[in-house]
Amino acid sequence: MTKTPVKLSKTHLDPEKVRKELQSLVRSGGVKTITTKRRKIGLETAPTYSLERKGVSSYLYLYDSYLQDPEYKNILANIEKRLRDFEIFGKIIKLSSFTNPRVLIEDEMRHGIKTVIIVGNDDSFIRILSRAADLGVTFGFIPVGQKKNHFAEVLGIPINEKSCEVIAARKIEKLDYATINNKNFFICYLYVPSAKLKVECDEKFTADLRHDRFEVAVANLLPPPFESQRFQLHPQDGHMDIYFRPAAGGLLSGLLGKGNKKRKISTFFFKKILLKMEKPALVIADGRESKEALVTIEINKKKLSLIVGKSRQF
Amino acid sequence: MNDKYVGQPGGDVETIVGPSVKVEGDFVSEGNIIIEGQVTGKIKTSKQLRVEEGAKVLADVTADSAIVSGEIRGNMRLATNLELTPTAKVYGDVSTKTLIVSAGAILQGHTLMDESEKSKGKSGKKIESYDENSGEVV
Repeated sequence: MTKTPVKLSKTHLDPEKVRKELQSLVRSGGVKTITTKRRKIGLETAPTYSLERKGVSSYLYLYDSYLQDPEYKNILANIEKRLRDFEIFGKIIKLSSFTNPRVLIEDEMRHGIKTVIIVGNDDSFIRILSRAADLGVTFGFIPVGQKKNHFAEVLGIPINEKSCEVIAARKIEKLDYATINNKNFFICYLYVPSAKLKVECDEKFTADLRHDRFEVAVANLLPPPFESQRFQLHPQDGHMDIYFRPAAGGLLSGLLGKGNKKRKISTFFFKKILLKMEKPALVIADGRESKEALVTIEINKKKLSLIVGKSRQF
Repeated sequence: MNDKYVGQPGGDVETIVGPSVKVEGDFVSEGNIIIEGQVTGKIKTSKQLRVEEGAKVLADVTADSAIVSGEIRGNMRLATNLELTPTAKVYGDVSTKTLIVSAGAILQGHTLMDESEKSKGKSGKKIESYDENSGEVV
């Protein structure tokens, strides 16, 4: 992108005022173009005055496939209108269930894309970030529809077209995410429904869970399936929490009320953890299922750039 | 949060070792630790340690304070206070500023009350051993 020199006319502008305007633009990440600012201060737009045109060309919008339903047509039209108003509209790609978002984003990055906005719901957000968290672009989220939009609350992003204001404000926070076995990622939680295993934590201590089957979860941005009260959201401290408890017994033990007392939860936090299963067990990381005998989880501290709102929960 | 811990000094629990869990190694935490299972090795925290009834700790302990209802075999070094409830069993030397021992608790080992307690008008004590039946210092 070519940067042209800033030209100011003394007859039209107070230099001090313009200097402050430019400073505030730089501080805010340069999202609003100078053109917008010039309009605000009553001047004609001048293309030679562009400081950093991140607006049109550097934004990629990934629409989830469920948005093709006619019920979202008006919402999407309103969102696109708002994005144009903020001059942050960009290329739209409609995802299908077979699209690999990582390959797609990598390809677009070669064409200058620096910000990827996920338009969809929790599933879309998790699906894309769990494959592309390490690509080094800034991610944003436009939650659409009322269902499955818990992340919108966590990140402080309003639903539908109101979220465009958050995207335009471009408040960026760096969050932790985890790498699993040096290949996949998760940002919400990893869940092992039932396994006999040994847990090695930060190469300092081990928890032996081989005498019984255990339910295990590692949580970052969402509470694990079996524990929400004790969960504390701290996705920027370079640690994650592991929770485990004995897996539920059979129907008989449930009817007799046995085992409930012993199903107390254990929890501790870590930077690096190794789960050594006795036999390959089902592992669900941000919705992606696999069978693993060995799971290494490493935290990437503050490596994921995410646009967030003021009312975020962390 | 488990109701049992809400409103208590160790309310913001960060680490819990459940009743059916065995942990081995250096167990280091910046937050409160609750042990209901077994820990072997070393325990270190800058906050409170709670060892619940039925828990077994074979480790040297360093913490700000501790409330013990289970069994500890190892030396304990507390920055502020140690409370032994009626079911507590401690086999090891203890260093603390304040010691609270309930009747029925067992404490076998040297106890050193920190000299800095003198600044608060209390004299330091060195307890050689503690009789579990009478609850008296021998």
